[in-house]
Amino acid sequence: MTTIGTPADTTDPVLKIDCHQCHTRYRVRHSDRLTPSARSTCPTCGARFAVVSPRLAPSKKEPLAKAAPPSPDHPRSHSTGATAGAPPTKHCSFHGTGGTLLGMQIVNICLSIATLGAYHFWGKAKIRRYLFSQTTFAGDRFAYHGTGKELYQGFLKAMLVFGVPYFSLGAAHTFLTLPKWLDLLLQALAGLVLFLYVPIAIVNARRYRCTRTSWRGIRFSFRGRTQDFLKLYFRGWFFTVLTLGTYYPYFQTQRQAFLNSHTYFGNQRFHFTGHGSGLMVPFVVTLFMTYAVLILCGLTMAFQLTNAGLTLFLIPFILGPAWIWLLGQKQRYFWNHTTFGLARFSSGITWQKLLTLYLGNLALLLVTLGFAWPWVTVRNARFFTSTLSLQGPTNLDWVLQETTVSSVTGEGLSNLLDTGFDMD
Amino acid sequence: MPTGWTAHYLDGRTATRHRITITITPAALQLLLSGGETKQWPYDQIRQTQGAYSGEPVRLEFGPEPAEAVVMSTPALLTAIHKAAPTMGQHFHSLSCRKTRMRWTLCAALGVLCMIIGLYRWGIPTMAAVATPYVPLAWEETLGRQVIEHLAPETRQCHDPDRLRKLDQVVQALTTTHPTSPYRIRLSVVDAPAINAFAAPGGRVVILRGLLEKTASPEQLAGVLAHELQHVYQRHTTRAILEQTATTFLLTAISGDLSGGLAWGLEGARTMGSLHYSRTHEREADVEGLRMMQAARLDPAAMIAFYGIMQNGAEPHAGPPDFLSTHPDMGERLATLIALAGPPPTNVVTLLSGEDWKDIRTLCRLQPDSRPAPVSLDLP
Repeated sequence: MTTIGTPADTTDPVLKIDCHQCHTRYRVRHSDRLTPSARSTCPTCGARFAVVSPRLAPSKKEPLAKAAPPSPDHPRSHSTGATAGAPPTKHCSFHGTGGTLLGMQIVNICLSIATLGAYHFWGKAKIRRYLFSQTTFAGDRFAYHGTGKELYQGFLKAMLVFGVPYFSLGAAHTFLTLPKWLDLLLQALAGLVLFLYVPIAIVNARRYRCTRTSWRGIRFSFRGRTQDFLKLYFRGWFFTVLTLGTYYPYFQTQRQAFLNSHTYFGNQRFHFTGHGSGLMVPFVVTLFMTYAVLILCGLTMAFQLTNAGLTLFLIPFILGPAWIWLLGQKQRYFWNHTTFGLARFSSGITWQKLLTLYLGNLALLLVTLGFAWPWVTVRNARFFTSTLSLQGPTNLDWVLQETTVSSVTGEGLSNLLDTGFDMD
Repeated sequence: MPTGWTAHYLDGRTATRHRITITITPAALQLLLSGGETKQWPYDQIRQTQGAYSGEPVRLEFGPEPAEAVVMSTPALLTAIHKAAPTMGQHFHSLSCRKTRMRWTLCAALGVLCMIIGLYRWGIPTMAAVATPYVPLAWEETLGRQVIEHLAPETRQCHDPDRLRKLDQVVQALTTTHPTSPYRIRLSVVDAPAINAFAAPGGRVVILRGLLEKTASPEQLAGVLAHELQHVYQRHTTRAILEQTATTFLLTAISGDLSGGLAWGLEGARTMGSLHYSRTHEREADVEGLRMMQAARLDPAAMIAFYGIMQNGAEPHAGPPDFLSTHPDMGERLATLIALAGPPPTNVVTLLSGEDWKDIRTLCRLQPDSRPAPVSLDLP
């Protein structure tokens, strides 16, 4: 096991390092000769050292610790990038093409049919590997390390843990003659299984995907506990129902805070600084518009006014953009309140861009009877990556690897509902 | 060929990107780090995880997880490795493969098309037909009971033991042609004006009052019942469920990661498949029903006559087009039946006397309904 040496006292001009295994302290005689890849072993216990940076402590000229992430309300311009003297803004981009994706999908379908569906998981891993490898952040590509075998095992476990109980409880009345009360009880239990399944799938799928994703060779990880998320999820829905939906933005923000703040890149944690009140106005406006339009439609239909049916067109033409506006607000708020070290993410999503994206996707799918799916995926990936950036000082060279073990059941659970890859 | 290739090295422990120089030797990649340290990566221990697609940087990994990695923007490195170590480096992606891959993809597309058509037309119906005998009858009976509870509840049924017994004679005449059948056929009459009849799995057959009043003779009624009984004997409901399940699996295999916008398209494809299989079952029920009539020494002309009445009663072009219907076109069905019926039989059996027939048709008259009877193209 490698033990990483760390500076014992950064104020001491003589560099010293401690062995984490035997706690012996050593003085580095020629610290100027240290190179990023230099290695050695502890003379006492034999533990291995690796130099992680030529300069082991931040210079006094760069007081990083005193800085703070830029405010989400005043992010640096997304389009112009870094301002003079400010740390450079790191951008995301996607380089994949629809044609390549279509070719991969065709081969996957062919092999899936030939193997009676078994290849589906290997195909899925292949597509995901491609999508990740085409996504860059600060000029470096992501890498996906999951395998089809893991996805298949996860699916089987999820079927055993949730699928079989859910379908058995739900379909018991088809096979057995049951009294009404017992049938209702079994249906309620099936509903409970499904209700439990959703949060467990969300949190464990994220755990699995994080550990199988790397950037510059460093893995991501998710360290939130499932039971904590379950508590948050149940409490969130309870208060949302109790307050007739008013609590929903708070619930969503808490959910995002849990997911983001338990996510790590190597040994560095992401943080979330958002609060439900930040989404309250857009949510209330959208909710009010929804109620107003639905009541208007209901009244015109109830009183059988002339051309009452025309009011139904308000639903896609008014409520559609309204909910897309809310979605854009939500995604931007979530990203703008996510920080990594001293840097803050910034999202340039606007409702107009989001609406244009969705309308374009819809038109593509309708015109091509769905065959444009790979191009829709590429459009989505390009859109989300092009609107995302990381602003503020970040020294990613300081990030160290930390390996964690994760079960694949969560991913299998996610497969059951096909929650897919999202950018939330 | 350059002797040294510039690339980036990731040590797997830190996120630092080191600029390195790679030298290709016949047995291994030699990595020269900026500090002067060198590393030897034997080709057979290197894994290529990226760089198989155009525009993608080449990523080579080495050692156990978290692995060390080398990332290089140009795929020319791979060509150089292939040249330097043709045997040991053959597991690396070859740029010449990309043209072959395009050809294989086109072959796969053709293969997908053939497999889908094959499975849709023959594979799925054959699999369903093979699997159906293994489905327990008890399951069909439970399902049938639920269907009856829903579509023909006791409160809507016409209960007159004497008349139902006479009606049962018609059923008996037909079921005697299947003496080894495990099904116990039970007939119910529902007080509804529609001209319709249906079979539920497990041996339950339901006819609606409208149909009873529309048929001109017990033989015509027997024709309709023969069709419905064949749905039971051929286990069409079970087959339909198996076919629908198999179609869903097929579409899931095809769709893969597709979701959202395509969900409608997939549902449409599934429905079209169900309709196609339903029409096949109807044709089979027609043909086997007619053979049942012949085996019961009943005149198939009565069955054909009733189908003719149905065709004449329906408004022309009122129904959906053939490919959107659960039943084949009535003209096509009639033509098939006429072709199969052959010359009129000589020793036909008369099912009921004229008085009994009149009596049976008043089975539900205790609850008269003055509404006009809708005529459905899909009937019987």
